[in-house]
Amino acid sequence: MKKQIAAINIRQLLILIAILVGSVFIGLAVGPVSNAGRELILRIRLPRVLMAAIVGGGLACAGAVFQGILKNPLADPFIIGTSSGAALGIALGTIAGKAIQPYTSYIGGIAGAFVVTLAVYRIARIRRHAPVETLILAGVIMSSFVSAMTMLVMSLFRREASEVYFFLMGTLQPYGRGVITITFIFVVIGALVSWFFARELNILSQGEETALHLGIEVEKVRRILFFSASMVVGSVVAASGMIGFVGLIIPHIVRLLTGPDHRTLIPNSILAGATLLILCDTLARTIARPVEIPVGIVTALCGAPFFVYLLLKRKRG
Amino acid sequence: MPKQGNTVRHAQPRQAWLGFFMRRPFKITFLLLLALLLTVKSEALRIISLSPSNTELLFALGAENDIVGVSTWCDYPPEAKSIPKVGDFSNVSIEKIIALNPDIVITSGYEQSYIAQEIRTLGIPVEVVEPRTFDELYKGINLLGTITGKSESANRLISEMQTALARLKSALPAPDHRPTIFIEIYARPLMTASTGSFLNEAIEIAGFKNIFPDLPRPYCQVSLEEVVAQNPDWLLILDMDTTGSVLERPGWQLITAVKEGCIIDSVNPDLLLRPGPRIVQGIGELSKIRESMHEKTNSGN
Repeated sequence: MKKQIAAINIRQLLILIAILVGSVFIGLAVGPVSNAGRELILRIRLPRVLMAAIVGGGLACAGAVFQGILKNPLADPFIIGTSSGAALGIALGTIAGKAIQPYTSYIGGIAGAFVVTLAVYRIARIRRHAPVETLILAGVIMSSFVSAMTMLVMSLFRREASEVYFFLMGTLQPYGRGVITITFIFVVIGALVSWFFARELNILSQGEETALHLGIEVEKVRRILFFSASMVVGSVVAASGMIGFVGLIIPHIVRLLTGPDHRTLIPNSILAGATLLILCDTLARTIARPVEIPVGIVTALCGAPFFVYLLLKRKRG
Repeated sequence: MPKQGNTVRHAQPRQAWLGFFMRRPFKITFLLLLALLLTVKSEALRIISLSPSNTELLFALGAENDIVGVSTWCDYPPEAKSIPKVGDFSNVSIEKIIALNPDIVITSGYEQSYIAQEIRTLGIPVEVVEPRTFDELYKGINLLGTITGKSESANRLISEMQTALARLKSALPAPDHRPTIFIEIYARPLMTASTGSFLNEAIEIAGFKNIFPDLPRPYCQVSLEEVVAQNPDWLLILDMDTTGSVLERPGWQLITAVKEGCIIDSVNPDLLLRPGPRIVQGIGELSKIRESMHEKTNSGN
């Protein structure tokens, strides 16, 4: 852990924290209701801003981890079927519980994410070894298989399905007591585990051979990281549905700005992801008031141009 | 062969007798009548109804024997469940529809409009009945009445509904005494109904004022803080089975309706969400709930 802390660039971190705090204030101050009272801000806006921060941070962290393990720039929390698994779990939980409820979503979401990740890992494993290419292939195939199963379940149980369908479109208003706390705990555990293995992630992203030569238990590290990231994704999907783009784009943006070292990449991504989702959700709430726009649309609309801007800037510089 | 001999013997007068009818105008009339008789006798109208509200309307008109296919969502009246299914609301099997050889298919709008288009290209007549107001509902009922030859029942049903509605409307409180209401169609994300939806007209007739009267679309996602700011007197929850959790939802205690327990979750959502014959009953139940609360507060004072 010491080496992780030593690697952190305090200045960068402070700047990112300052931006995050600023966006929290923006999120609290700006809303569809212009002269909101203290009660409304504390009991309605604050939970939502917190939720956005936790979900955004969790997604960005999981994205950084998946991109690191899979050595694939297109990897995100959705790529190896983790979130499709969570969605299927939530759908099944909803049917079992007759409605979307916090506990059925959490149990279903995390169990689904875990089972699918485990299945992907088992499929990809050849003689106690799971090569990256096989992992990605198994993940992509499993992902579409699980999505098809979700569709099947949804067409068999249409009444519950419409609820699940709308829920998965993504919304950040916490819907039950303890949702924020539970998600926070899972995201923090996942983030700490990922950060703890940041050095191994650095070496892993250099290639498995190098990692093996440097004495890293590749399989073990990869498995631990896979499951901790799945847990983050499962709980985040259970809390807020499928919010795309944050997990894919934030690690890239952070890598462009502060470098590829996972010891800084992971904490910086978490802060940047939280910031982006808070700002996007503030837009989603206010831009067409009183109508609310699904936040996933806003993340894609804001994230993609910013990413292109960074790419172009780097090409010129 | 005595019989043949008989025919031969009577051939002359019979031909003369037939000859009269075989003159052209008579022949045509006769054939037409025969065709009509056959259609009426052996081939009753074959209707497929793809939406629950239209199935309910057809039953209410007494045309249930003409329905040869319905959707799996058509569950009222109970007899509708025993009619062959051709699919659910938005996924229907075109093959099953063709196999049932319908004379006409009745669909609703929105999600079903592309299904309607597809069936039309197959040469099967389609009528879209998707009322958004009571006037459109009456038109729809008249149309179904004409199609099924039950115009009288249609007129009777319409006048029954109109009488019931007139009774409800006469008991309405003055516009500025009407309580405000938030209609929750889904909890997550928060979806509501506004102008352009049947639901909006229904709650107005029941004596409520929608807190979102003029959203850009009939059904919209809104933010919770907007609901809290509008502070409705009542909540109408149509999202089945999640009702127990309204009190548990963080932040909802800021709404007057939640504080005072003015949450309507006992009305069968089908009564209000289906623009069919039972909508009047749904509205009646809503206004009864509103009145009972009114009395309670009055006696409390």
